[in-house]
Amino acid sequence: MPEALHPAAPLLAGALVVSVLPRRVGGAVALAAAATAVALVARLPVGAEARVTALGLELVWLRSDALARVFALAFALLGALGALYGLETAGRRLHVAGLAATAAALGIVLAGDWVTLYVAWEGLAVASFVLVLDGGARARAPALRYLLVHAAGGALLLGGIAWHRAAGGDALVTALPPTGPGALVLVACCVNAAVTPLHAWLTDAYPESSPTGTVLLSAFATKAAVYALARAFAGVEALVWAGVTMALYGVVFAVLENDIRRLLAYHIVSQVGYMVTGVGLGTPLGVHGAAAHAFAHILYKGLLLMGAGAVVHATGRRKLTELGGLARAMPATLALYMVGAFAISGAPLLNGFVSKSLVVAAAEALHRPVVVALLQLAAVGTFLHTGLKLPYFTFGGPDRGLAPAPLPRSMLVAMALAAALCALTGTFPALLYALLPAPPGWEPYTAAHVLEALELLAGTALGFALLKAKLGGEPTVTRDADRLYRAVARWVLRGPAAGAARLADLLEARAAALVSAPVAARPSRAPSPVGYALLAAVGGLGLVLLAAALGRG
Amino acid sequence: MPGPRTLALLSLLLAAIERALDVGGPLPPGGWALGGLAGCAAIVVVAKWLGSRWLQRPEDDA
Repeated sequence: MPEALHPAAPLLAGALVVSVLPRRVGGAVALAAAATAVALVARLPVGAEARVTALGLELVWLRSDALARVFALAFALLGALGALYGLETAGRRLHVAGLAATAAALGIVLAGDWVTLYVAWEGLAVASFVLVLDGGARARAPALRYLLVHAAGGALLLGGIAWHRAAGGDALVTALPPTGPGALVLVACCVNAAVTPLHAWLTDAYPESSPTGTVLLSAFATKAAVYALARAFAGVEALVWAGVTMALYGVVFAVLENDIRRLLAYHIVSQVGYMVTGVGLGTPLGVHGAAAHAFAHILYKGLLLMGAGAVVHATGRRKLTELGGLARAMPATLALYMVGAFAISGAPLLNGFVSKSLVVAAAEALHRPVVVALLQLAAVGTFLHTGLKLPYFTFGGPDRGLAPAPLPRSMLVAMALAAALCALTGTFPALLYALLPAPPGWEPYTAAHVLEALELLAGTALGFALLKAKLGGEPTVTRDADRLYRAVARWVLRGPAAGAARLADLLEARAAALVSAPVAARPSRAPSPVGYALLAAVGGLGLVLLAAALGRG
Repeated sequence: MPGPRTLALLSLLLAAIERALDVGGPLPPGGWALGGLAGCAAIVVVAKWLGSRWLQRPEDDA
């Protein structure tokens, strides 16, 4: 018998119920299910465990420890805030996908064995794909790219797990060496964590979803991957430099970005870089700092994307070159957005000040001055874009004569709750520290640290004031690493995939002709989804078999 | 948004407080503000250079 109910249970039950209810009632049920999950995670005892035997495998489908609970609580909170944010605007499909994504994310961090983790990992990929699709017609292509990248990542994860088990490795989710099967698992985690240059799916897909979809997406995939990295690869040196690269890459690309939600998406890459660095440092302060930063990040990034989504919802515009002068019409949105902006920038009294400094302190403790300096440089870029550039050119700057539509009350309430949580855990760091596996032994509120943070913000603001003429939006798009993937994907789609799809169409038509009346089997020019599915399945299976063969060899 | 003079004065004030409290770390008083200013300039210059050379394309060409 399980010692506790899995917090994903009410979410999955809620998703089933919401799928058959009218939209407005469904939104309320989704919110209730998400709130129930928060309560279950909060009451989940450390040490709870539940097992089941299926297909000859002993699955530990629930394992609660302190590290898992930090992530689980953040996922559940954001799931509830997202359901509230979208209460009056989101459709049935989004609520169902949001609940499923939250459930899958909880499934990942509460999984005790690799197979359970893999199943939840794939579930999150599918639910996130549907969340991206919620953006409408222009989101279809990015959603498909999202699915393809995550299918490849999932195949790597499955291949790594199969190889690991075939080689006699532990079924439980524990530390792995970054070689052999561990290398496959590591790369799969790096895909989901958006480690540069494997990050382009994130900045490609997240901004294309609906406002609520983007808020939900921002929380789950990358942070679940950070959890997996912390669990399996803490102390891998390559992650330190991968994380530092991410932290800087995101802020450099954000300078060039004109789309407000894509700008914030680049800052997801940057902030996850801090977490990956913390995991790579490998000390308790580094790993717990990464967990604390994930918790803080889920809240303040959710808040920032709620603010940007409110602008998109109210104006129908998303580019800096089309926005401006909204401060008078949207003062509450501006005020709440700025709470998130100061939090991500590490301003005192907000949660980012506490959590970011844990990772930096971990690097200082290991006498890594270059890592410390580069992380501080990334902090400058973070404030430059999220705290200065985006709000200045959206809410201030030239007045475009926009007349924003009034916001639903639920959107503002969700933003206010997220802001309150950012302030609460930032002003009283003991609340955040109590969630961590062990007290970090780091006091953020010293005169030196507070002055350091304030000076850094003031100096950055001075730089922005001097350079803002160069920082306005430009009607351009930015070429990122996705150009490479797209070129490869085009080749695959035009060549092998199209051939496989035509073959599948032919087989489908022949099979139909055998079992029914003659079918007008018109040769289809457009390959059917069956072909793509066949190719993906064969490709994934091939990788698994290859991995297993290598493991046995 | 405060202007450059106000922000420069604010930075000087913070540096003065840091010096008066004698709580400085590895940097001299005001060092973090200078770091913020220099870091901001560096990020903008590098990003703009990369953008003009390789990364940015007009929306119509996308």
